[in-house]
Amino acid sequence: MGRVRFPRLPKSRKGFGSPTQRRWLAALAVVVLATVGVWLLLRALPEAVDATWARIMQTGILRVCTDPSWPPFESVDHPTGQTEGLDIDLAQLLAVRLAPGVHAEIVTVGFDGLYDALLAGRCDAILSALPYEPTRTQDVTYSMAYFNAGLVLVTHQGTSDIAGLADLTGRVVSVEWGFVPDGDRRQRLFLQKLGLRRYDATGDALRALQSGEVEATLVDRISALAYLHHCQQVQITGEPITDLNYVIPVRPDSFRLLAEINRVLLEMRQDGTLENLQEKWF
Amino acid sequence: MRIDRFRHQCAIRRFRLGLLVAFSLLAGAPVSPLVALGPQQTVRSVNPKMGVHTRLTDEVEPWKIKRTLEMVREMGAAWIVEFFPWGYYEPSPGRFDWSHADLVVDHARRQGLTVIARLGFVPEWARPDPELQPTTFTYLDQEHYPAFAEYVQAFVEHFRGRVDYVVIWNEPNISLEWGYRPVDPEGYTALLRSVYPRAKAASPNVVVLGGALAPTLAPLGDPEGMNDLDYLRRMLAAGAGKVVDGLAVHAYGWKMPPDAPADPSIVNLARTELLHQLLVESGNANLPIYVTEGGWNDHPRWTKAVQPSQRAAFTLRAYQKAMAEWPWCKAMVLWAFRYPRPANTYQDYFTFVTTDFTPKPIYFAVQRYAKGEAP
Repeated sequence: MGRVRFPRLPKSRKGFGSPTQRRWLAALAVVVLATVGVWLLLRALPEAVDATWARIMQTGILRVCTDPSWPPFESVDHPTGQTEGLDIDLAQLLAVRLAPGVHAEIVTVGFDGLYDALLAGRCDAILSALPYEPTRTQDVTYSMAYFNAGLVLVTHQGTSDIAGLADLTGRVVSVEWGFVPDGDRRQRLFLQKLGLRRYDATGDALRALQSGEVEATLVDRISALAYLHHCQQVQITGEPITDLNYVIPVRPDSFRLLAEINRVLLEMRQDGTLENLQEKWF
Repeated sequence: MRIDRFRHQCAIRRFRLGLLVAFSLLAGAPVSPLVALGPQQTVRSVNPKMGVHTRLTDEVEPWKIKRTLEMVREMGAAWIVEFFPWGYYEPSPGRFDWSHADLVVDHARRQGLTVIARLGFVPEWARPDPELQPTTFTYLDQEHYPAFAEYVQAFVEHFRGRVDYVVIWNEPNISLEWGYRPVDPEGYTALLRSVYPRAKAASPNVVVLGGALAPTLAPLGDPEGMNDLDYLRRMLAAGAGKVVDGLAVHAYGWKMPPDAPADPSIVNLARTELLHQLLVESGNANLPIYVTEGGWNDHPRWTKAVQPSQRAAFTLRAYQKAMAEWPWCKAMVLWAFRYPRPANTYQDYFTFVTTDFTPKPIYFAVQRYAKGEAP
């Protein structure tokens, strides 16, 4: 008996499409499942809570630490014993704009105890003309800047041929004794070569400009603004040459408070509140 | 053929073994210093009483220790005060490790500097069981005075001929430095009495300095401390004058210039004269004073700080005053030359050099003075 030859059947199609298509389909399924899994997991986890923010909302009190020894940012008004200054006003305005019904409570602390007071929970934020310090970012988080106290160039009112550092070459420039050029290395080298005339205090350096002994002065912006307050013969030229940004530190777990502070500061910057405060106190 | 291959394999093994042995020997060999001491230097200064307190105890890298001390010498200061903590160098009873201290002292001596060693910092093993009684490293009970005296003796013995001045303890008139206990001038005098003979036994030439009191106006009964004048009076009444060879003094000026007159109700540089006066009145006029900390701060915000220009002027005047007007003062050592890392507080504004070795303007002012140039 001869072998029976069966007709050849077509290849069976297991599943869907070609092997490549099947692999893509499987990968897609895994991605979808993983996404759904993560979503379910996140839903199951409790929502992160900013306990500081919750307490502020509950009590209506934003506790702000300050060292009242740095006018015009913060000082004690001796007849009344009240703390006053740019930072104190800012704290009050900030609190009001954080949420309806919130007000600031000022907690006075010595300068060296400010950060410890914040970390120990004595206050919710520090408003005390504190510059941003990168070395402390493990312990606290900082708001955006609300004042730049960096180095500025001061010239005679009406001077038009000095617009920036580059125009100082060959000119007589006054600084405070002990002035150490900050900023980037090129700036420092440039300043070191200027042959600066040094005076005992920033006020002396600015008076030298006013009296015509020098053509320009390099001082911190606070000293310059304070001097301009009673002397109209000099002007700040251009933007600060270096940055020394005053910021508001909060505890790292106060993430909601930080976001709200930044929101309000941005509003204040845009609507002119920060500028008005500066004009009031300088 | 097979024998040759066997021999070849044996040779490779022997070579590998040889390499391993050589590597092990190298790894175990004592490491020679990467930072050489360099040639012997001399301090050149118009004022041999000038000094600065260094902060090298926590400085790890030898090149930084050397550079710090080079810069001290280049500034014109001849004296340094450095802290040698008991807890670091005697980690367990009777086991001493002087390697870091040797590094500091040898570099200092090579730069031509005279070292005053401040001794303190109680190791855990000399303090009560922390489970029963938590204490700090400034806590030393009378029971452990002999253990501290033994450390002082070992230190003086080890550094005989290299360190001739030791200060016993730091600011014992404030509770913080006395283990957060009520301060006790008689108790501190007992500590000096315990230490003094041991130090002298190790080296008869060593100068044992007592005191180093914190200048404070603390009122009577203040839990945080005792007025330094009252404290010294009681120390001397308890016989401290017989168990010290001199007195270490902390002389901070705060906001006052160096020529502001002495006044018991004021803390300023001239308070040193009041301490000297107490020595004279108690029959200890022969005991010299060594200022082991002091100076001014130029932080822009700290309430006790002065302007940078004032700080420089006051510092030069303080050095000058010790030289010209205080024959009983053997050294004027000011706080602090450089910190190993930034403190990020007003403390950074006491220094002459930044952490990254950048000299501050005050450094150059002192250097010019030491060279005899006009400020």
